[in-house]
Amino acid sequence: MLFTFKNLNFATKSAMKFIINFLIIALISSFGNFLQAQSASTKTDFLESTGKIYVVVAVLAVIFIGILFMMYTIEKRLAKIEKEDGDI
Amino acid sequence: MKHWWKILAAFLILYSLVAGMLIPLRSGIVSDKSAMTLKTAANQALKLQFYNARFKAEEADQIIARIRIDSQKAICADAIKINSAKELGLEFNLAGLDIKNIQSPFPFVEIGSKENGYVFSSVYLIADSSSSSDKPLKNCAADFIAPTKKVSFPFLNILEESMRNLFFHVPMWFGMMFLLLLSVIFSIKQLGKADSLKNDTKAKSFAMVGVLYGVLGVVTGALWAKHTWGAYWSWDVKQNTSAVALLIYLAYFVLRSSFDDADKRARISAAYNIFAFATLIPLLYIIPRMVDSLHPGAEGNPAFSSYDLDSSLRLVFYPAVIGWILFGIWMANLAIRVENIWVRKMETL
Repeated sequence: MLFTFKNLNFATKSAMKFIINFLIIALISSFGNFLQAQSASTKTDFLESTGKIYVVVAVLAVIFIGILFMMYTIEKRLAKIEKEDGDI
Repeated sequence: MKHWWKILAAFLILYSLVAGMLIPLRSGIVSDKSAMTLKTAANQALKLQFYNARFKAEEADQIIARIRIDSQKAICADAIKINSAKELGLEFNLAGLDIKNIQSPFPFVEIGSKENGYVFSSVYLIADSSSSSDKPLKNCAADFIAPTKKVSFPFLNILEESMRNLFFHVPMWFGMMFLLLLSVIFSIKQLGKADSLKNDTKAKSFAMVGVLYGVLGVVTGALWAKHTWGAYWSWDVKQNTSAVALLIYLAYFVLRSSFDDADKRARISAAYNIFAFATLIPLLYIIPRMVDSLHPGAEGNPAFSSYDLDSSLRLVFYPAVIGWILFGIWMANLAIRVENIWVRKMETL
């Protein structure tokens, strides 16, 4: 998990994790629905408006998410090292 | 300056973002096929819809508009009307035109104007034998229309502005190839010098960033395909082979995580990495050249057709490739340094 809850007990932690995961999934799927609704109502896809420039924007967003993922994996390893240091 | 290459990476990516997004596309004709179909008769009206054009009413007499029949002959428009900044109305007299001997890529309509440069698009001619040719065809001198001198990207139908993905999607694949090559080099080094885990860590980290680039390449490619080919996944040969290649590399990480003994893991995963890289070459460079594909570049280079790659695109594309490669090395470098500290810690415990 990205977030650590140091002072909470196990049940609260797992409940919080569930809620955060749920929110993330809901956010992603509602964004998808938003795009779907746009395409249904305006006939042409939002991403294809203005000469399909928003396809490029979406691609840039995907690449940014990829870089975030890389940061997350490095941070995970760093957090492990920090934890080991704390124990010693 | 120890960090010059990181600054260079940031600068090149920033440059590709700014130049890649801000340099305008050339004007292009977006009328559909039915609007571009004419009969070989008198008074044929052609209404042209333009993308990225700014026609001014006062420059109507400076516009050249003609249908080119072959490299020598062209039929000039009898009347040119500027309907709006993005629409031209042309009128042609095509009566008695023999269309049997016209060969591809002819006939096409070509428009030259000071403001919008040179624009062309195919037209479709239908023979109309009933029309008589009392008036001779208005054959223009086929003088050359100079292309615009402004730096601009070519306009391609269907792709339109999404052409700019060339600077973000394709460098992912170039970067992946380069990083995986580095990874396999360190794997070979690891096999040669097995007393240290340093090369194993390097091989793993470069493979990790390389696979990340590959996944980004597949995902951005699918997103782009949705809006140009019509579906996220068309089971196109290039999509399939790159997905298989990535699965092979994912197995590399699964294999790594299945060992508890670090020396054993280093040895076996290094051997696997060499095999994985060896399968990458036919999957990405040989099979796509043998099979038809929707992807540009079926005639040689699997990434794009060299025919499409305009000099203005190269101006942004090559810096973007170098920038993303350096940025990938930077990310891998961070992972290697953190991993090295971790390995040292595990050894002292």
